[in-house]
Amino acid sequence: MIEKLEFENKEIDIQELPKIEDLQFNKVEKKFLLVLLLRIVMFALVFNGIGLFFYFSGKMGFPSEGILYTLLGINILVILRLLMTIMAFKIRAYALRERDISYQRGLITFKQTTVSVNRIQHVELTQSVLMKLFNLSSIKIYTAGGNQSDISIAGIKKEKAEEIKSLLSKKIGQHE
Amino acid sequence: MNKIDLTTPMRQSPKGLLLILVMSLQKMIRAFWPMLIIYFWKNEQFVEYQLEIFAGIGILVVLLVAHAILYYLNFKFHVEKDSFILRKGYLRKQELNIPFERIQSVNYKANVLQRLLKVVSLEIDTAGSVKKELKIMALEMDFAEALKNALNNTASSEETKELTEDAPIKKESSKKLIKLQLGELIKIGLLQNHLQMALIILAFGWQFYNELADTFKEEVSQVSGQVNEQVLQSSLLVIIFMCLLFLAISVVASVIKIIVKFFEFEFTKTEASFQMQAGLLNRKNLIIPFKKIQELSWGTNPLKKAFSLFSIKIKQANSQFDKNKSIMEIPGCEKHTLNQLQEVIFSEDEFLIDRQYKISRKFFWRILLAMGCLPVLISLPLYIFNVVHFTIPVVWFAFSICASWLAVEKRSFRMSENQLIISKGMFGQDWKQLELYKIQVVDFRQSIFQKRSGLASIQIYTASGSTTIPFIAENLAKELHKYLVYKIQATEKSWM
Repeated sequence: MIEKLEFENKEIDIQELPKIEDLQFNKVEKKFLLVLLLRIVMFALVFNGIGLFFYFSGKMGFPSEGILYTLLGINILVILRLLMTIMAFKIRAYALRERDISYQRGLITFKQTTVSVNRIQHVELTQSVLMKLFNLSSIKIYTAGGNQSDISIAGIKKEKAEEIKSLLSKKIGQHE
Repeated sequence: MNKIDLTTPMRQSPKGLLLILVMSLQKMIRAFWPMLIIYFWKNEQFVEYQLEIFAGIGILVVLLVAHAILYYLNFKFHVEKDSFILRKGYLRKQELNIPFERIQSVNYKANVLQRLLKVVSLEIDTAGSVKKELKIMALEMDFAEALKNALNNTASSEETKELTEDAPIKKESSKKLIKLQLGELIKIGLLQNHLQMALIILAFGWQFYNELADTFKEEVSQVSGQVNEQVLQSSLLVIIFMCLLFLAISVVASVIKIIVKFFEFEFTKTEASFQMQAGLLNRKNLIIPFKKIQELSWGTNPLKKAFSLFSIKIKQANSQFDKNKSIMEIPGCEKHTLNQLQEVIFSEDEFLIDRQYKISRKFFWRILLAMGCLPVLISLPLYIFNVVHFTIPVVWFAFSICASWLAVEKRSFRMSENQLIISKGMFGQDWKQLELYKIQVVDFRQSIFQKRSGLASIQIYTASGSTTIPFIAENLAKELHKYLVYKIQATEKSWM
């Protein structure tokens, strides 16, 4: 059904192009897993707190067991989410080459995005409060391809993120 | 050229004051119209509050007028060196500074009121995802022309240089490619996708019905009671007649929509751009320079196919105002016109047969799952108590099997050295052609289900949207990813 692919290319043999899959991918900081897990745990704590408050105050119009079952369901989902986050974390990685930057993530759907330096519109560093505690940053890379194609590499040490940003900015400058 | 000084900060035409007022009034009425209807319908209930209501309306009107005046007075713009500067706002002052090189296109438009006042509104579109409102509501025509020229001239130096140097030749070389008369528009309207139109009418009608239902509760329950009885009692013949009537309404609606949207459609090719004019109520005037075109798409449906007609969309980078403004649409043309456009837009390139790819049959299950299985499963509880209605999901499921099969058949892509053509469709078929160097970002995607069968998808983002090549062999996807990224990097040409 699917023919074997051979891209013939007069100028350059495609086999000699650097393979994206062989790229040296850098993992994001391990500390960032903690940030991700903390976010979920914090959500769970708030939810459980509210639920238990209503359970013990007994001021609900409906049977209070309902609250417990709901909480149980939510907590099961939270645990699943924690496990998924841990498993998916191993996949998060980025690779910087002379002419492009690649970012991969996703457990159920693996996604590898490659943005060429000559298509980058601008680069931005962001930091949430939690990430600030761990001295981590996100690098957001914007192109004209729209919101969906913009990549945000989260969980890079702040100094390193700044280094990457200035490197990319310099390269963008060369292209203009 | 007329001498119009653009370098000192200026306001829009005083007529703009009136326009701003009318626009904000319109916005308000749109927000409050259900209330207005209730007010006029149940008038007697509000008698004792008459005074308060009128006072409230009075205050609103005064505020509106004040807003319009302040907005008008504080809205100033001018051209400085190589950027366009716009200051606006009275409570929160804003200054927008747009370098010419960031300007993507300049368009002017006129609605009914603007045409009466003999002014146009000018919209300046910039590249990038930063959202900025850049719209001047009322400009005298010659002024708008001057501003547009100023912005365009400095904006894309190369192409406009050509234009200005060859200015006298330009007029001769502009060639009217398509002109649609009323008769042709009616024909095109008749060949539209009427099922789609029927769904829109149904959805709109339903919403309208719901919105009015609350106000006219008693009347509605009376009427719908009657209708229900009638539907239940009537024979099959009546139901068929109702369906036909509904279809007829859809057909008429399609024709009207096409005529309103494309009245006196004119499509012209000049030295370096396509120009389009169309519209009955709002006359749309759009210019897209060749080099700003991101992709060309064309499509047909079973009805159009019988008359070998295509509809065409020429897309440039997305506009932040409105997706439609970045798209030039041709409602119907013949194959040779399509080929003419392709010749102009794309460099000559050979699409070899051995670079034509179909996608995996497994895609069938993916579509069937989303289109057939899920809706049927979700709506299952509805039929448990009423077995007769079970025919609906059965028919739908059979329909989605056909549709999924066709979807796999029609999805394919063709590569040439520098270009890509992607085809997709179910009952109709749509094609998309683009130059590889216009691509912005490439995504390789693989779900765990795809991984098991050694498949993957490629997603391509351009400044005018995204396209997926789903369910191709993993190796092919990897090669394609690599090749497309290489093609983006290897070019010196600018994507816009």
